[in-house]
Amino acid sequence: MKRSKGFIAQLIVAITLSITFIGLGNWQLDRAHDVKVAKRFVPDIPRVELESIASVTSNLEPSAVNRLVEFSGSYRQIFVAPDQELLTDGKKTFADLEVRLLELSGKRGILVVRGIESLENQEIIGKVKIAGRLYPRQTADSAKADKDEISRIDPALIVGETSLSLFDGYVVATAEETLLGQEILTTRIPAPQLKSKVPGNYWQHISYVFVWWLMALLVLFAPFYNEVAVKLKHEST
Amino acid sequence: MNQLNPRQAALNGAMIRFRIMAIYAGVMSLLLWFVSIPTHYLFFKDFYEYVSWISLVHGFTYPIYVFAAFHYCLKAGKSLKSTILFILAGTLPIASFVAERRALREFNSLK
Repeated sequence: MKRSKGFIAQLIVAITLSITFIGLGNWQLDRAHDVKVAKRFVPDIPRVELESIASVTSNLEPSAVNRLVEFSGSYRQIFVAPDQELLTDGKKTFADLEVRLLELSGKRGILVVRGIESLENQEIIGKVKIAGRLYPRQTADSAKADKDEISRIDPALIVGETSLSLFDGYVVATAEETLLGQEILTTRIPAPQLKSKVPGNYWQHISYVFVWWLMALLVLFAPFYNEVAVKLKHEST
Repeated sequence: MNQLNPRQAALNGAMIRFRIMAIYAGVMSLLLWFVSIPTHYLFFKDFYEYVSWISLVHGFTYPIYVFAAFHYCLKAGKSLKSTILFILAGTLPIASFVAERRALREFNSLK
């Protein structure tokens, strides 16, 4: 059957649209996969030296986030991070946290969350060895900051208050000890793995995959629509 | 109940399926736009975990609405433009209710 130029043009537009919709479906499929990967449990790998996975000259690599680290240095400054959401499974809780700036060798520094803020600041003199988990810097304020407070745990907020070169991110300490091996006690907070917040859920994205692929099919049918509609109408009368 | 004329009788099944799905899609769209999306992105975000099923169910059942609308439009001999508008009506709150009323009016006026 000979087709008009108009029909060929419609067909080309329909095929182009159909390919676009298939692409959108594939994109949703990738998003579904990302959600699945983000929610998968990843077992902790052995503790490493902080310097082996992070440096003061670059942003924190995604592969460094959530790693268990250890390092040593001396505390220099004390801050309070008010109204911080604690990373616990289940119920949401908030607390004011004690955050200290720890100086490492070579004039470098990192923020360490020691635990819940106590009324009298514990005096820690000399070098301490710290074990904890590395987290990316916070990007949203949790509260308005007063003097000696930080609105979020982000080294960028204290750059003007120190001459140290700062590591990106921060560490939640799970254990501290002096160089002589004496444990330093305080009210610690949980340090679970941070789950990536890829929006949506797996089956929701899969449903969009079906919608886009269905649209791709329907669009392919569009150039033949009028023909079929006329035929069906004719049959029904 | 009025006796259906031959054209109405031929369209009746597709019409009933479309009306059911249009009302269903309208309710789901209202829930999606005024409950699910606001709690996901704007306010009462803690409440979202209880209503996240809305977008999921809407996503999986919208294709059924699309099939029903497409079949009805094809059988009713609607233009391609009208068909596209009928299909898109399932994504907007209220629009599928309007489409359902319009389809019923047209169906009743068939001779």
